[in-house]
Amino acid sequence: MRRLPDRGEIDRARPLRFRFDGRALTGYAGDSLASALLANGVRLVGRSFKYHRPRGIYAAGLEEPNALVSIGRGDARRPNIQATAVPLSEGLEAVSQNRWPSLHLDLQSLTGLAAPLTGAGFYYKTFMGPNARAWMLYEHFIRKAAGLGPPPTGPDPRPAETLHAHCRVLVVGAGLAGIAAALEAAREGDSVLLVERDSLLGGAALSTPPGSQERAHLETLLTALAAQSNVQVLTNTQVFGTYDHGCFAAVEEGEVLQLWLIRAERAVLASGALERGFVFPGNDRPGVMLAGAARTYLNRYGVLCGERAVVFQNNDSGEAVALELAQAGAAVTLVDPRENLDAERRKSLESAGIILRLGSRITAAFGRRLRVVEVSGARDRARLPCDLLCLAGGWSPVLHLASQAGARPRWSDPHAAFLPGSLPGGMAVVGAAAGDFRRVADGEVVPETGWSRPLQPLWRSGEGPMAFVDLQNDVTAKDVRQAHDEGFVSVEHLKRYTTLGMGSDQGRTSNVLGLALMAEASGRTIAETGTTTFRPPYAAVSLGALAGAEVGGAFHLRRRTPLDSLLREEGAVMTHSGLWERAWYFRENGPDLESASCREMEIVRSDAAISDVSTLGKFEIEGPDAAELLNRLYCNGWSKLAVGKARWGVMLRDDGYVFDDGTTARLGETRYVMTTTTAKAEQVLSRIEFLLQTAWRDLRVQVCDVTDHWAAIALSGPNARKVLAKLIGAEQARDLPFLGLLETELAGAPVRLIRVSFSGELGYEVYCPAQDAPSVWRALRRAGAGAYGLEALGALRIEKGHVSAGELDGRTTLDDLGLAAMASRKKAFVGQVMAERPGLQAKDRKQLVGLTAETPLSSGAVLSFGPFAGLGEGRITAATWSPSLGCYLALALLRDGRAQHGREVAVHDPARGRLCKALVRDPHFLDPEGVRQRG
Amino acid sequence: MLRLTAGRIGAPVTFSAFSLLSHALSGRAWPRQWRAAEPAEAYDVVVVGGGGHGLATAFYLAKEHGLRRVAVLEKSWLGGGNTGRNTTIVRANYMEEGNFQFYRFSLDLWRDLSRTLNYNVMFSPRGMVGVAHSPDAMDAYAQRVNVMTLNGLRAELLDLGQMQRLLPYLDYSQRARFPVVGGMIQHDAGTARHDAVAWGYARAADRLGVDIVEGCEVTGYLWKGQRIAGVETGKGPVRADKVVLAVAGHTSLLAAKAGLRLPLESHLLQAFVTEGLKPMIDHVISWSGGHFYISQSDKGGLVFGSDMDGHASYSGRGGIAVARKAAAAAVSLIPALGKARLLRQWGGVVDQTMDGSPFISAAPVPGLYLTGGWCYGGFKAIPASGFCTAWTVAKDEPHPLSACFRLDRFATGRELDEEGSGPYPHLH
Amino acid sequence: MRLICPWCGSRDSEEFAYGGDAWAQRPAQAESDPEAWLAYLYQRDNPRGPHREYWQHRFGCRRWLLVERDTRTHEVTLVTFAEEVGS
Repeated sequence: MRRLPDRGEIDRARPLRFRFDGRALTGYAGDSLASALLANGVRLVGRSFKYHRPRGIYAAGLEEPNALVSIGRGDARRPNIQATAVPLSEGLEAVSQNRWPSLHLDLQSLTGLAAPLTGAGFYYKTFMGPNARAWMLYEHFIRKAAGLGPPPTGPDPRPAETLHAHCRVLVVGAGLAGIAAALEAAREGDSVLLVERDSLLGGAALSTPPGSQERAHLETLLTALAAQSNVQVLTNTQVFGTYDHGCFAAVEEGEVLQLWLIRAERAVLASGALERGFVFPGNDRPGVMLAGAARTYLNRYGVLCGERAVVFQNNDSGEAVALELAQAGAAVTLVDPRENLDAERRKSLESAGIILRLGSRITAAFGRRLRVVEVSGARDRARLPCDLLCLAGGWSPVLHLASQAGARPRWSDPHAAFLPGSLPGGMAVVGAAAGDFRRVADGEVVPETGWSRPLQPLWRSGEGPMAFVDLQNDVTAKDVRQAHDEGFVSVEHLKRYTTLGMGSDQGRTSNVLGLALMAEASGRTIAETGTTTFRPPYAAVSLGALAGAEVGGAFHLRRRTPLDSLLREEGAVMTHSGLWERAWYFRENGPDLESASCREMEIVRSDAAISDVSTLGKFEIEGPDAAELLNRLYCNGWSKLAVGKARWGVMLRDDGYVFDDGTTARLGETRYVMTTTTAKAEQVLSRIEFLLQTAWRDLRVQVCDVTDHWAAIALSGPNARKVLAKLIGAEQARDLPFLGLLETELAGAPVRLIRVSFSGELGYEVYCPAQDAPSVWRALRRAGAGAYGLEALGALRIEKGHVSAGELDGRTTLDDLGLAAMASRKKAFVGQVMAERPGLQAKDRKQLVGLTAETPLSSGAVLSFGPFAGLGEGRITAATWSPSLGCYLALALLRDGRAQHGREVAVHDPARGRLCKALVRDPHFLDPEGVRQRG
Repeated sequence: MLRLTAGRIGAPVTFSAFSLLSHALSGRAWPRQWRAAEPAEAYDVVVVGGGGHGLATAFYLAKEHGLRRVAVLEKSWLGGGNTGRNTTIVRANYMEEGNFQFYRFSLDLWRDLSRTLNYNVMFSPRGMVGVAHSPDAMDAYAQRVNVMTLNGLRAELLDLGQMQRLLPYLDYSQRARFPVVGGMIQHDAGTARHDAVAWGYARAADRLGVDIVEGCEVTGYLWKGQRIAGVETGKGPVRADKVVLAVAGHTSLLAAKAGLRLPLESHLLQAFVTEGLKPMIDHVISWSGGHFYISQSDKGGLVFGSDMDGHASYSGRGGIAVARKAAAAAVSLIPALGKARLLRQWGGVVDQTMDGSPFISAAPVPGLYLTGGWCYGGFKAIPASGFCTAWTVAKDEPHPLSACFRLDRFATGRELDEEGSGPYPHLH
Repeated sequence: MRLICPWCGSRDSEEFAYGGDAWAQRPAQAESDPEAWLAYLYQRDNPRGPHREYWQHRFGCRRWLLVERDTRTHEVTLVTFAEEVGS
């Protein structure tokens, strides 16, 4: 193996240093890692998956099954990268994988000795004893042996971005056929996106020698392409997925990870064809290579992969390779199972010094690095010394993207390949991908395949052990046979039982061989045996590229209230509640959650404090039928609510379970503002929109989401009125009754005040335009209000026995929550009929109760009266320490709970190492008559 | 007699290290794992659908109830539906009474399944870790841990320090959108080799005389008055006293042929796998905040999933949105996974019920039974589903553990709605 | 998938939220027969083929749409405002 002085597209003026397994090597700009390794004489690059066989470079592109390496170091290290798909760069570090202690001495290769025991599916047949947990022990060792590269560590330092493209025509693959298709579409005036995986345009033409017809044609096409302004070309970009309605996904994984989401009206797939080899013992030895790959290394990279080469073909595409290798100075033997060869071609091959062995085949290969091959003819058998064996076993069109779109490939005997079947609308396949192999195989043309002589179908050319079908997963001909014997004859069973084609090379070189061997074993044709269907992605794509930039802190959007920055300035510690960030507690009230929230509860119970409740859903409802809408949505009645008054409402789902609750106020004759819980705001809005646009189109009413337009501040505590009086005047503050609404001005801002209470104290909700929220908050603070956060808010409501998210879990009924009396009997409301189902009325349902205890209670604890069984008698949905009552409180859902008031229940919380007793009682712990809030 | 021997090559072999060794030494070919049976004229029970649920039902009909005239009719190849398309997770962490007991029983059957079937299904109770990012999520986990612990299952609540020791590769930084606060582990949960479950049940059922017929599509029913008396198939009519539907994703279609409308909508659930890596993730990890779950297969691939595509579908082709969502969750939870590469994505059509829980029931049509509505969680249920469905069919009464999975539970208001999402199949 | 919103044009399906079967007829608000509600809420044809369903353009105009889509191929044959369809 050596670099030739005068060949290749590499830039010899730009040498690049790189390392492989620590060895310092040099290549050139334009090299792939694989070509640079070959140029440096590196044959052994990896170890196989199962038997740890030494493996070399087999291909020159994405079909490479063997040459998987880890690239980079530290957090930049990426495992399982095909050396054939990595452009060489200065300082690149590559390390071989799946070997111990070293690539050259891999002790795990001893597993090869056990190969007779470890054929396909052996693990299904053993490792079952001596007890039920035995597999866990075996698995420990099996897992270590499996897998390829070491797992990555740390975040990828490369940035990731997601790009969108719209075009009339997407052309995938910029070989000659793809460029021609792009030009054709562009000349018709279509906007064209031409996407090529390689760094250069030209596809297979780039593997032809200087001065070839293909190269000349390529030059012409590229000149024409450059003149078209309506063609956008993306190189180094792999289209990996076809999705519904003309959507495609492509990726470029360079210094920046770029995911392209493409919407195209039409797509032309010019994705080419991939070569495959033959199955015979030793067909995996380093030095065995696809013929087309040897040609690519020779012409594109100027690397002669062997001095003594054998080219083994069953179709004409090996001849050009043989000729070019011979011209480059290699001693070449051409082996072909076909006998006939016309005189002219025979002459041209022989005059190049090529030894012809027609009517023969390769039956075995030997050497840890390839040293000798066995050639068998009809009568003779010979051993040829060689250091390169090029396999030209036929071509498989790349149909993955069409297959992903649901096009079932059809088998063509003349092509010995699957061709695109009926394609979905808007999709076309051209060039070698469509079975037009003319540019792949030179010479005269047979109309259907482009070959001058028909291919002779040949899959397995030699019998014996270690004859590989799938090089990456070490699936042998024997494994395929065994799968057949055991009844795994469907293609999917074959894949799953033997792991054929399941490796990171996606079986690009092995799928057809496996299918052919199965067809042979079962006495059927390949067409009868089946096809494989392909799923995205065509080529492995890093999760970082798929994920894009919206990871880590940007994983989901972050909703912030209009008071967010002010609260943080005031020392609020934030927590998240769904997508919202909310003030959890204020440092001014204590150093930690527990002490601060207790203090905040005390301030609310003894003085006055404010809390940011802007996250509540807020919808303005306007129209002559606004009250009717509310009557239908809520279980309680709205007809009699006066202008300037508010009411608490509960709504059910259609199935009769409680959906949401909130306060709705009447702003005018036909105008209301509804609030919902933070958690259900979007669902409630969407539901109302649905009903108004479908079943309730008769209602003359509009609903508008004003959640983000209005901030909301809860003001609570016995001194709340005094605080308010300082800002709106004593008179207005005094005259606002419980459940009254006042539209006024506060700190220069127009505000809506609703006198409601979640904490059970005298309370108001102050609604103001979002931009005025900071000044209103500051004014309330200056007027003497403390601040309290979400933790205290939640604890105060427990003391009061108000239900919240823990109880409104989508599985509770009005009666479960003690709210049965809310339901109106005078009107039809959502969920009314289904709420009558026996299961929702049953006596054994779990009902809301209060619990008190001397020891801590926690949400998630479970309850029982006797010994615990099943899910127990109930569970705690919310719990807190109550500074006001001096004990621990909880809300719980308890079976037939209201009948259990006064009983002692066992509270099991082994998760937190607790077990205690609690007293069951009414959930309204504090001021059940509501004296305070009405005061 | 013909029926029992048709298609068999060689005698049945008991799988063991010894039989492996003897085959290796002798070079003798292995026999078929199950006969390539052709349907007989009549059976006691015909099970439609050769996935895990159907094969398990047939196996338990033969093993537990002594039925010998049983056939499984599979339209395509065994295990090709959701049995072979899931993320192989086995767990028992449900919190509705009926579900909890049922999945707990299933877990009991999983433990000994390899030996029951003489087929290594590689059940690996490696532990399933839930990741919590809020005090509320910790409380929800506490309830699960409490219920499991009190019922003899092994589970623990994990604080942040324990999480960091157990799963050092998660992002624990405060920069995370939802910083991790703790988690839980269910020690008895884990994974199994999905294909092996289908093959193991098939082989074991076959050895009990069950006919397993692949490539045999059921196109309709044979009727005797108002009663179903068999099925019409691509291979001709097959009479049966009882017909069981075990056709996940397609239950509505076969039920419709019997004149039934069911509370089901078919949806697409995608799953994803990366290239093989050396061991990295030793547990099953689920992260409800990111709608994400992941484990590492014994071959080294990281198997993960996220939400359903979210609209009614009988297509195996999913969109890229779910893949992107799953990848974003993967990278957000485990930053190193940005450099792992997605190798394959695939989809399975699942029966979504109106409450997210399944059906094991006699159908309103005499002679017809069904196990279905397994939503996106049917794999772990296979042993118990087979066991309880077989019981329901053989005894013509529900098994106590599956009595809650009635078809009429919506009419009676006895839904089993784990998520509290209401009657919207796409939201469960 | 892409859906052509009559208001916003052709957009990625991620902007839309699926709203379920649109063949099921919602009973009149005053309907008190549980059977009617049971049929509406729970019974589905769940066809493999043309399906009539609701979607909301949630991250767009927020209009509810009636869509006819094939559940085998995802081919969309009709998108219209839900309001414009007779109930």
